[in-house]
Amino acid sequence: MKQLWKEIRKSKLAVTGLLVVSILILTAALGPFFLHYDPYAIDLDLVIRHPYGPKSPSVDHPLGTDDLGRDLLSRIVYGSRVSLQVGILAMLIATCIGVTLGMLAGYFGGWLDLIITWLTDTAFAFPAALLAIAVMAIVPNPDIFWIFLVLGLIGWAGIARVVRGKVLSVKEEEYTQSARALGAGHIRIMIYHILPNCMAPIMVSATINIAGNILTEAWLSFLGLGAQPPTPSWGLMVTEGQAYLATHYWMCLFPGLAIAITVLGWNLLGDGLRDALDPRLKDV
Amino acid sequence: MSILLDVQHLKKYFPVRKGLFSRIGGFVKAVDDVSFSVGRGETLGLVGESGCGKTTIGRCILRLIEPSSGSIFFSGKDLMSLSNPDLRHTRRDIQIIFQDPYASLNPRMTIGAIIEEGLVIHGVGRRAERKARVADLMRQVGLQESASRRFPHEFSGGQRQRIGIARALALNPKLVVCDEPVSALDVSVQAQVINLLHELQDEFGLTYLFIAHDLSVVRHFSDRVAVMYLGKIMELAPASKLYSAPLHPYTRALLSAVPVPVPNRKTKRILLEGDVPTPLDPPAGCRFHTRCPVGKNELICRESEPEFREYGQGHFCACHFSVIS
Repeated sequence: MKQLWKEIRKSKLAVTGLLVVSILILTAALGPFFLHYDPYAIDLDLVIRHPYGPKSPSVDHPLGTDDLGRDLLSRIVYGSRVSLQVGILAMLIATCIGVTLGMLAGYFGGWLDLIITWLTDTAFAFPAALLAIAVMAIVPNPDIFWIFLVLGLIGWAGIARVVRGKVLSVKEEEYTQSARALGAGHIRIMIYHILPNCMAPIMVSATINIAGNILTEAWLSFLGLGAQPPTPSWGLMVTEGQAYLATHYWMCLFPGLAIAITVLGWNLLGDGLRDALDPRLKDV
Repeated sequence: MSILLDVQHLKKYFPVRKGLFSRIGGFVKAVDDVSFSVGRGETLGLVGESGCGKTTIGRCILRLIEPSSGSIFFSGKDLMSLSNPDLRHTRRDIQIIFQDPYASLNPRMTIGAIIEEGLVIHGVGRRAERKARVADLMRQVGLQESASRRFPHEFSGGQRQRIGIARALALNPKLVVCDEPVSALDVSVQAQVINLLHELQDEFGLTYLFIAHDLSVVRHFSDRVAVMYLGKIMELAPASKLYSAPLHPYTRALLSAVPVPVPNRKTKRILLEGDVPTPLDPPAGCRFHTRCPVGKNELICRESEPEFREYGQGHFCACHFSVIS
């Protein structure tokens, strides 16, 4: 762990990524305690009596309000919870499936490997967007819960492929061979010898997977296939601001920026981890 | 001396696949009909150039690689016919020390856990007993007990090899396959590790199959030595005989390459021409004839494979000209 931190510190990009992600997590965890406005509170005065449209950023509302008078800062802060939840939960689902399948394929090889590789290739070839849209269109009440599931069921293929490759090499390492010589069973070898030595690529793909999940959730919600109003989802907020894009730019701009910065942060962290963990790239 | 390990007609062919549909295009004959035996408490040295199949033999004996054919008897049991649970049980008695101490220790496990693993797998003793055994082993191989909580990357090559030895000895094996245990180490450290292996042999009555590519290392360590070339044993003899009166031209060439620590002494190097032929398509007749200083132009060497015959007192050799030369 100490070593990892040392390696991460060497790369400015990785540090930036880590910083952005840390701030994001802190915001999601603690942000709501510092907010003055309920993200769901509609300003009736603004909507009914004085239909002037969204309020522009001011001291009162630092990022302005939307067309219903809801404080954008509050909604973006609450939105970070939604996007983190989706990103991390879907990543966990994808990682569990991907690691299990990749491990089985790489370790046992043979027909099992053939079937799993075939499944992985199919999952890759299948347009993920289409699957997401199809599922969200079919389920009775599209909700954030379905997004976890869909994203998790889409995202495993990449992780499975990475894990399979790594297992293939770790399996041939002499320490794995020596465990076999000691009489260790398959399960013991997989858990004690192979999995710990595959952690590096798993961590990297999981981090990058989070970035992908957040982005996909954003555009699914943008298309109305993800989070439903009045959930403060960033993608949904961009949709709501679309109509006002020309005149009240902040309704689109700030949630959009939030998406961009978050995704960038996770990607930077993922790349930084890759550089830190991959010994082949070390000291280049 | 009773026989502990008896290898009969061991063959390992690795299929080479090529083309779009992975047709088997041929076989690399890594080990091609090898027979030998090792007596209880004996050390058999196995020497040969890189790629001659010596490591493959070691791994076949542990069944880390499945042999293509042949049989391996260990204390009278046929290892090839063992079912998986029996095999795992038998593995207690046969252990291996690997060549590269940097690759053979799991970087994510502590030294204590690495040495203890065999005991855990075979359910030996309770936790406290196992810890005591690990401490014992570490002392025996010359490591400090405090090292047990540290990780492999904190140790030098020689120390790591000692850890590897401790792991191999944890289960009180009868046979230890030493797969070039010192060739990755500095010369000064080599001597230490060799001496350690010697002491342990005396103490525990171990039997070694000592694989190496360095004749001078094997000389001081082995009771008998087998010389391999391209998947076959060329000569097998008691160590003193092999070094003083080698019968096979290949053995003589190898011996002439061993540096002698006497200044100004001119030794006649027998230089072999060319490279080792590919094991994918070994030469017909005697496999060595393409490079042999004796039989290069002899018809018999090109056409018939020499028999592996005994020339008295356990000295075996596979060469048509071994009597004459």
